[in-house]
Amino acid sequence: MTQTIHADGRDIAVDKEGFLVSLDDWSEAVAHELARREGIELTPAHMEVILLLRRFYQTFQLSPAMRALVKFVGQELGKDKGNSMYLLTLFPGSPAKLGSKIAGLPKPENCL
Amino acid sequence: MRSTLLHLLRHAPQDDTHFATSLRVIGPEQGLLLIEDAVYALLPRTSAVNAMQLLPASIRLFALESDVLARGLAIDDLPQRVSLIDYPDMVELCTRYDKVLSW
Amino acid sequence: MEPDLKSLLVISRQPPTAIAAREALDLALAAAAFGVPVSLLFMDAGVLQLLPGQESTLIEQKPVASNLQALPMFGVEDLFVCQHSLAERGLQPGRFIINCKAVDSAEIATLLEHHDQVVAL
Repeated sequence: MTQTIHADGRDIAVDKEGFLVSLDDWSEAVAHELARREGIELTPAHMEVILLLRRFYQTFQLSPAMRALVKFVGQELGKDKGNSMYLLTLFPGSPAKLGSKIAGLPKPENCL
Repeated sequence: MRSTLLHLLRHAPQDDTHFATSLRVIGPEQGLLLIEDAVYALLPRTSAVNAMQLLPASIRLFALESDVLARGLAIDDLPQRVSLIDYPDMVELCTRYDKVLSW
Repeated sequence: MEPDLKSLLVISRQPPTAIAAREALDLALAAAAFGVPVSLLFMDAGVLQLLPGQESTLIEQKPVASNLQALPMFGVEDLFVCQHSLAERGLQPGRFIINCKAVDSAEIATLLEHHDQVVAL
């Protein structure tokens, strides 16, 4: 079952959990709308991680599980940000899943 | 920690590299169980059966009797050191070893 | 499950044609995501997964190379490759898409013995 959200002056399909149906539909404006639906107002700190998530996906063809996300963020943005506390502050609950959703990635397979 | 290991082979050595591989890496005190097409390793005068004969005596060899008979292999031709077992034996064998590596 | 239970996954089939190759990788990533320590051993045709430059999309298969490169990121860092399997195929360690330690048959026997669980796919 798909629904549509409205962002960037377009109608965009998302699945019943709110993940983008097509990865190509993503833009920063779409990210803001996806985040708003999750009750998050995106700041530059969020966007930094969102863009990193997209880079992770492009490099490894995988949505990261939590452990991998922490490691990748630590490697790319430094130890201050590469920890689960920091990521949980930005994306409460399940940073890997929530972050992937806002970044327009498929739902992480290895994340319950 | 040392632990015991049973190598479980299912494919014919003539068609699949895993037979040769498991023989290459099998350690002393480990076991080798042939089921399904892997029992073709017992065809007389083949390099597979010869290779098994050369394994250290501490390595125990087993074959599932129904798979051997189903493929028309003559029991009399089998190497003496190969123990023929049935399904309940196979279950027992798998629990007797700490772990089973199914190739 | 004991926290220090360590598993060895033996990858012995070749992509992109063998579905088992993809399954082995999925298993490794899933185990790692749940914090189960996993080592990987590439042997037999499985060593061919390590060759760079495989354009498997040309035959409509998803490439495994990017996924393999993600292994260290998922905490899978003990990667081994069978020397004998390499030699059989005229390959040498060093030019692979991920760093693997080359091991001989005796070392593989030790690996099989010292892991709590061993799975071959």
